[in-house]
Amino acid sequence: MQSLNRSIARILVAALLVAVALPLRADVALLNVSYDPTRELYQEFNAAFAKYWEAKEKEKVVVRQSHGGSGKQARTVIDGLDADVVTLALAYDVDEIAAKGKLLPAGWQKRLPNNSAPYTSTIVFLVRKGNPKHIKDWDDIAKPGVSVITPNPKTSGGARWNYLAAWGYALKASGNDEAKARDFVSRLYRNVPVLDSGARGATTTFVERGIGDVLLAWENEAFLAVKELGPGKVDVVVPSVSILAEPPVSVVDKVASRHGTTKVAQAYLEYLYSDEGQDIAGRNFYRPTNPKIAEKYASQFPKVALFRVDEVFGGWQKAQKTHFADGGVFDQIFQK
Amino acid sequence: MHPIRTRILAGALATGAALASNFALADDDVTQLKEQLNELDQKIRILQRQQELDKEAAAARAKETPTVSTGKDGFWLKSADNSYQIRIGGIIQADSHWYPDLTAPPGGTANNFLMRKVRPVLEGTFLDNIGFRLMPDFGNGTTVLQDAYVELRLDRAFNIRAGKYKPPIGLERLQLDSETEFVERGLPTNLAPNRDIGVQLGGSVLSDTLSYQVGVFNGNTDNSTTDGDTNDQKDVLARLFAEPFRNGGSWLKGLGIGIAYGTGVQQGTVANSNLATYKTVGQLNFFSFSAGAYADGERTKLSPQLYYYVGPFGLLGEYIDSSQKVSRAASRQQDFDSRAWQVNTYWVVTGEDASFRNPDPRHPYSGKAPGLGAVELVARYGVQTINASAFAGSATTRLADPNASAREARDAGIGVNWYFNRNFKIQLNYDQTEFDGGAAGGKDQPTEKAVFTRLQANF
Repeated sequence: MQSLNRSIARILVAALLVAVALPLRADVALLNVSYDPTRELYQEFNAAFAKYWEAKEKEKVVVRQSHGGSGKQARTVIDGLDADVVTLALAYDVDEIAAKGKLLPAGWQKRLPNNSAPYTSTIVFLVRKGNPKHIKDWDDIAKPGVSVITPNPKTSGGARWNYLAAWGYALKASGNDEAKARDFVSRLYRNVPVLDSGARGATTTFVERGIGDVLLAWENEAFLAVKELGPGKVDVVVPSVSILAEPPVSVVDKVASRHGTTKVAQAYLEYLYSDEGQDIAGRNFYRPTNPKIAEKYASQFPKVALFRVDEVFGGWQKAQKTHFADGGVFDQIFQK
Repeated sequence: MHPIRTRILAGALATGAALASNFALADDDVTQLKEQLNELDQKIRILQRQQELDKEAAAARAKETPTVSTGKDGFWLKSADNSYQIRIGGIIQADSHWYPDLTAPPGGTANNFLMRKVRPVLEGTFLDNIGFRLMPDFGNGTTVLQDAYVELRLDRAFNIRAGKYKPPIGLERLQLDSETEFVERGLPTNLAPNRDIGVQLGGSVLSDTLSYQVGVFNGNTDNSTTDGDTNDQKDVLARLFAEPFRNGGSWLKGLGIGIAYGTGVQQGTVANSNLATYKTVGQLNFFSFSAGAYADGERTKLSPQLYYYVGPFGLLGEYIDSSQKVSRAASRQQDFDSRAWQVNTYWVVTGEDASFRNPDPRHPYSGKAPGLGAVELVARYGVQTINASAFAGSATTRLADPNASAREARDAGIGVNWYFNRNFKIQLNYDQTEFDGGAAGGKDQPTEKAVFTRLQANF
């Protein structure tokens, strides 16, 4: 009888092990938590990567996407959304995941080339057909009677790029006069009738709801709107100066480790730097960082003088604290 | 076009032309009007968009906001995505036991009121598939931990449960304590462990028509809820239960049939026998082992079982055969066998469907809707028999004293249940138990007559 007991116990233990091993047989799945306008980019890229990974590792990978305002997405990851990788609009949001969520190391940005930004972009204007308000540069959108559409910098990474682009322009135009820059940005935001939570929502407000005279948009978002609406419905206006937006990517180490997806997550992000990844970025109107691929798409991107956040604002941490923290400059000027 | 309508239209056009010639607007005025119209149009669009954004924000907040709800199934706290859920519930049973004959067997419980079960329940789910349940019991003036387990719900067909809970043997025992049709369970429950500590695999397959449990347990004494273990040996228990017609519209839809089996080695001592005492449904002892007897070897249990519910009628039947090697003094490892069976029948007079759970009244009573609830009549018959060899031998070697313990108990019971709603019921039972043996001189113990009442609130 005791031997029977032992046999049954062994069977139970084996069954337990089988049960625990069952989930391991499933295809590998990644969750990419990204910002608003990258839907189309990652739809195309995910398919390409899955094909590449299956050919290389004989393993099927399914990448799920989550999109929203970059700041909001970062908070969601900190609050427990199981992102294997994040591809957000700005480095500060990933820093927050590292600092508050403790989900990846502080030096995450040095792990991939170009400060972990596989592609770049900038901020341009999207105006109505024929540019009826004659908007050519930043000064034109701060004039009374011009309605400007831009999302909320509290929730949207793109909106923070918009804001800093305007501020940087005003600084340059005024010889680094902070007061004049503040006045300029205040006047600009007086022209903003509605704040969406993300860049895609702002595009909807401008394009589909027909609100506003100008949309401050990611360059890729502006070109995508032109492409989808067809020529002649809206026009892209490139200002004299804009900001170099460097949307970063990172593996969320603790989540990927817990999921057993670290290797594939790392490969996923590295593939963004491959020729195919860069080509997909270019096709989706992101500026490739690989010079060879960048050259291929050079004609589709207008020449514009670009400044970096580090040069003008002393880095994202400082810019965030000064302008976008609770009670910061944005709160002060927008409440007026 | 209708001629009258044509004439009206022609007249309107002529009038319009005349007015236009008299009140022609200057180009500047038209431009100004257009601008004003555009401005108004933008304002309306902005207001509409703002409303859209407000709605989106409210929807997003709702998705992120945990919910608190209360209802007939207790109080629930749920995370926005439902992956974390906690239920706070409870059972309170206020009973009374009455024995109309004054010749109740010795050692029994006196006529009294008692709090039979007072059980707060805390249960929930974490991360979608990790469940837990915690249920202490403060009834009968004692504190007992009845349920405390965690469950890894890997799949509907495969769950792992570890902790303290009902082992998979007795059918009526596995019925929720708040859902039993009788105030006290029948005689077969004497031979099924009440609660035990162990680990169990379980699940349901074939579109939930077949469920199974198999587990390793400490091996508690029958009808016991002890937390610890008295020996290194464990029991292995398994149960298969089929409801082959549950997913169709057949009149056999409510048929469930199963079998449970348990085996193990139990070792007691003279001081701690690891043996059970058997009670009538009136909760009075009718069989006890002699002092010095103790569990000493293999024990097995076999229990075929079934229920069948069709419309307002229901039937539950089970049989349990329990055997255990028992020693006493020089009498070593004797086979002790006991068998019990019962048939319970139910009729929900008010027409609600009978089931393994309490009927759900069509016209429940509530403060706002004074419905009559549901009324159910119940009847049962059950027998428990002890094998004759248990009484054989001398006063120093026999396992049980034939002058104090009965060889057989036969219970017939009837009752009426009044379900006010899903949360409150009143029960009235009458059970009469006859015995073979168990009294001095080889006589039968007197017939036990018991009237039980219960007011139960559960949520």
